[in-house]
Amino acid sequence: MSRNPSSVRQAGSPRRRYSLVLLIVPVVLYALTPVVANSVEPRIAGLPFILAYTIAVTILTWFFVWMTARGDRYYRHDLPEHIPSDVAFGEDHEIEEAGK
Amino acid sequence: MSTSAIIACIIFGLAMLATIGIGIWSGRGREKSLDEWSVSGRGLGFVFILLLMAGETYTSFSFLGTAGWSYSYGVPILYLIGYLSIGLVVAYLVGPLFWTYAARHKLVSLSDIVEHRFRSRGLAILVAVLATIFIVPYIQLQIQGMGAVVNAMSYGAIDLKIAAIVSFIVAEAFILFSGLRGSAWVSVLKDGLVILAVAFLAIYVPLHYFDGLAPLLDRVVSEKSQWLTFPGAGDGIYGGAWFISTIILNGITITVFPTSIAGYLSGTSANALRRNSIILPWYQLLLLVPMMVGVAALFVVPALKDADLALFSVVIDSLPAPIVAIIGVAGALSAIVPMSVYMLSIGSMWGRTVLGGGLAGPKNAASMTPEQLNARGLRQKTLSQWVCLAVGIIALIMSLLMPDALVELSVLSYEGLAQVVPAALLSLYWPRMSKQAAAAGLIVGSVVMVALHYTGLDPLLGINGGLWAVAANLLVVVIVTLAKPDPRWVPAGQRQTRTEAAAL
Repeated sequence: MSRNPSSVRQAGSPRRRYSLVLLIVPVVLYALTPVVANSVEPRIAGLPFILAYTIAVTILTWFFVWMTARGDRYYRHDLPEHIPSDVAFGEDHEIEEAGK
Repeated sequence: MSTSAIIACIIFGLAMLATIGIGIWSGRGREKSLDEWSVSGRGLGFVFILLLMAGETYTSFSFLGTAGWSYSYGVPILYLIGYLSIGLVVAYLVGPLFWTYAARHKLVSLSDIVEHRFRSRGLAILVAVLATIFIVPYIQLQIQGMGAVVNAMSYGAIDLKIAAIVSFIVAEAFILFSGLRGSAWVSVLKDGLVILAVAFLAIYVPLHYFDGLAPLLDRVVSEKSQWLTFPGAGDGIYGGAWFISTIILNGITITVFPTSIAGYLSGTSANALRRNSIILPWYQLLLLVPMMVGVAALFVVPALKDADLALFSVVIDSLPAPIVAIIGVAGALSAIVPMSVYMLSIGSMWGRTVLGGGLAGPKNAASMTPEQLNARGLRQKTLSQWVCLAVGIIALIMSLLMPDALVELSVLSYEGLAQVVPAALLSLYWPRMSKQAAAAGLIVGSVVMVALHYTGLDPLLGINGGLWAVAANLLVVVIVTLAKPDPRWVPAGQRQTRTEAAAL
């Protein structure tokens, strides 16, 4: 299975997880709130623009994290995370099942 | 006592008994180990993690402070949704990272992670103490928040202090017995009530007072437009730069909160946490309702002395006693669940790292027999439970004797815990980072933060003081690490030989 230690160790130089770039999008969108959305007009469905923007960004956060996960092989195979310090210290051994 | 008050008291009493019942019932027949108590033996699946994490984000602040900020300042309160969502985005990577590290090395808390990474119990104790200093005020705030909620919902019949004592007893009863699993189960009751209460308020409040949401929004736009753009109403201290720096600082910091870490570590797999990050942004939208009620309160109860009671003033003004009581119970549980996890996470940091002898070095631990390991685990668990009780008592006494003294500190909680980010998080990505660097960064960062705050320079140039302090912290970490790397770290040139040696 994917938790095989040798396969994890090969991940010492992990294959790129390009989809993780998408995670930055919601952060940037939230941070832009006071810059691009600091106004009441245009009102969308009666909501002041800043509120409509926040709601839209919050929903987009779900979308972008979901897309990140879909493109992430760590998610598709339920792999434990790659920890550079464990790899460097030779401690990236297999995880025992809980309760053992 | 009026009839309304009697009805409210009965409903409140039944709810508290149910809470204790659910909490204790959830822990029956479970293994009695530190692992089970602190992180549910890594046995919580996706749904329970979701409920627990949702439960931790929706605290009594959501009912009191959120409506209060909205009432006093307006849109700056959107920082709450901003940083909780950013926290979830960051947690997509960081949650599984901590989970993997802890599951691999059998760790149960933030200070365990630091101790194992740096092989330094001293540094771990520093982290545990610092985290405790910044989290005890949070527990106190929850106790006081619960007092305010229960006092309001019982129409003043239940005294603030009695309510505080009740919250302490209920939280301790199930957390001591069932540990984190108890909190997760009580979260089921709590989240259910919160969603019901919030959905109801979202529809009822605008209809009752303004004939619908649109007229309410129109009135806010025409009469209170200052509330709808940064820097908001009031003195204008919460401007755009403050918003941006705060959501980024808090969004990263929330992932190293000992309570978040307790949640991450209790998952059955890395994906339970990744799924959590996908779904939970939706939950943040619920926070818009207390914000809306806070703004509605501007018109309903315009001259409120205590802005934090904005939501409950509106609720009491417009609803019959049984519904007031149910919303009050949702508010009370929103104090009890996070409070119980705060106490538990402090308990497990002290029970093992500070008082229980720590990890005793991975090498020594490896040479112990399973019986010795079990005995050590049980001793550390007992210690953890005692600390969990002691912390609750301290927070309770402080909230009874000096309710205002520590509120100040809780404002600094995020800025303070942010200083732990390099030691706990960066260190897992950067093998070269040494314990001296982590300790120096932690101390410099904390001093800068406290100095900025007490000289009135926070925010500095409009940017959250905690972010300046983290910058100083990181700078020190990088300089000290370059000068003195971790002794276990091997420069790139020699790495090949080391891997071969390890393989032999």
